Amino acid sequence: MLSSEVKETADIPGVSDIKVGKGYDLAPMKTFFVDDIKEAVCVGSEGELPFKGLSGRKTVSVDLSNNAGEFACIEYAGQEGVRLYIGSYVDFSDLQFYNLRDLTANIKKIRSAQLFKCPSCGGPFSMLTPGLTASVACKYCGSTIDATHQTLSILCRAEKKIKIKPLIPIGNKGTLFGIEWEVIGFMRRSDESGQYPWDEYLLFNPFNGFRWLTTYKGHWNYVETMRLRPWKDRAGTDVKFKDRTFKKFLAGKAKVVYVLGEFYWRVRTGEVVDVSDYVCPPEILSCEGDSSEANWSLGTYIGPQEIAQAFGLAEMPRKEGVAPNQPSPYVPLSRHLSLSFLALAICLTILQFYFIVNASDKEVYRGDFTFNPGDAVRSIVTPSFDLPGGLNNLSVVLYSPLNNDWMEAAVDLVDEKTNQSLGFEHGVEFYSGTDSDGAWKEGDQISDLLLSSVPGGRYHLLVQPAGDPGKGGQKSFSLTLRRGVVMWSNYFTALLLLALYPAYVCFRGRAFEVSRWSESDLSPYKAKGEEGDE
Amino acid sequence: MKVKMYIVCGLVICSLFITAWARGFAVSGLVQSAKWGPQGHGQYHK
Repeated sequence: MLSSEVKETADIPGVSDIKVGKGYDLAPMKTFFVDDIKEAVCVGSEGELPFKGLSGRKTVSVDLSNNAGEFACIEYAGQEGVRLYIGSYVDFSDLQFYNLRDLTANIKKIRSAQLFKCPSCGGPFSMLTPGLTASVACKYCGSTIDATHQTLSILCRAEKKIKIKPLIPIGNKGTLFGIEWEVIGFMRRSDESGQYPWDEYLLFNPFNGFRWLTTYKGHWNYVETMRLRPWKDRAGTDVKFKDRTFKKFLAGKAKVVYVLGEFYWRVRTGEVVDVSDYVCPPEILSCEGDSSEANWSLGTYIGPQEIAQAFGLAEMPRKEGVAPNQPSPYVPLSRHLSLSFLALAICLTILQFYFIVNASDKEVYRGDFTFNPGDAVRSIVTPSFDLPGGLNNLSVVLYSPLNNDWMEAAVDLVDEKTNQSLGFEHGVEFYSGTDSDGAWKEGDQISDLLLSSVPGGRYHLLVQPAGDPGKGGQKSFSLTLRRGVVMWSNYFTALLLLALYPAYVCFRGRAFEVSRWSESDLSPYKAKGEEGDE
Repeated sequence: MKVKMYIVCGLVICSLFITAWARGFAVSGLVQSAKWGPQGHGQYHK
């Protein structure tokens, strides 16, 4: 962090007015939010400083940050007054220091030189990050040791003899994202009920600081403490970070069940913090803290194969279910399929419009007939007519001015050249009346039938009409044949076929999302009935 | 790969659509009971 002192401190609130999470305007057009409030004690100093950096000097230090990547620190130093520092986070490589000590060799030297004894069981241990370690969990008795003072003291003793063997051993090194990390700490945490435990590995690199690997049901996340602070949307349930909206996934408690190795804060078994998770796959934002601090961290989903490869692990636990921030394999596929479907549907529609414009839709025959249903069945032979062109469709429209009656016609379309006939049946029925609800009607006096791929040539019709023999008297009907009419069934069938696979992928994608949110109380897929019951 | 396969299948469907139009074939015609056969099969003549 690179910062400079700001002399204008008139607007700084008093130490008793400072609250974690609250925003304060510490500079023109700059609002900072409180991350933590703590007592700081000067352990030692070297070189030149603008104030007395005496060992033992106590201050109340308030860390603040904003969503522009800046941080601020307010130091309440009693009679010395208040100091304000404003700056920004920088990468170590950006500072371009030169003439530095060989830090890696230095750490090795310190580690080998310093051996400690657990004040609880006397078991020997050394620190992997001397100077940075605040607590160490004894691997023999499980007690957590306060390592911030030369005189080691117990932070808490292990409640029961739990022995958990971490998948990645403490001290193991691995390269992730081009940086070599050393596992220095392991922690198992769970929700308050203990039903949903997860593991966390603390990683350290001397030039890049600390990172975390968290794992839950075989899924892994690479987690780093955030420099930029997200900001809440208007509704207050979701947060925005770098133009992305993270949806609230859960809010609850996290309890430390087991610790092993070293940590940069005084961790205690049984320690409980408030935690809120927000997801925007493949990332997850977590806010942890209590009344005195709120820490934001950003996790990125990482495949177990990458972890295994980085740390040389032979076997990894199998993945169960869908992780909150696991990227959906269906999202990019669905997007591409939707675009492809749209393009193909547009092509199909253009083709259909072309066929509509170019449809001949020509009436090739029309005949009016009469018959008596009471008479014996007889065939009506129509005059010959031509069907122009090659293979094409043929629309046969039967009309009869019936009322409360029906009629059917067995029709043969006879090819006069081949003497083959295409036989089909066509019928109409129409009923109407009035009742207590008013006038009603059922059926139709007109019926349309489409014959496919009828070859061109000279034809005539053989028609055998039939009707209700109980209703005697002459009945009339007409048959109209039209050649090359517009076909809509092909268009809708083709659209349906094109939509099948994208619809399947959409369905699978939705099932994936439902599975993702199944462990959240804030699932957007929960039925309203279930919410009501709760 | 899946998208490419889908586009290929989509183009096949479009070509079948064009072929059906060229041959006057209608999907709705499949549900009709029209059948080719010898002249006047099963019908009375007067």
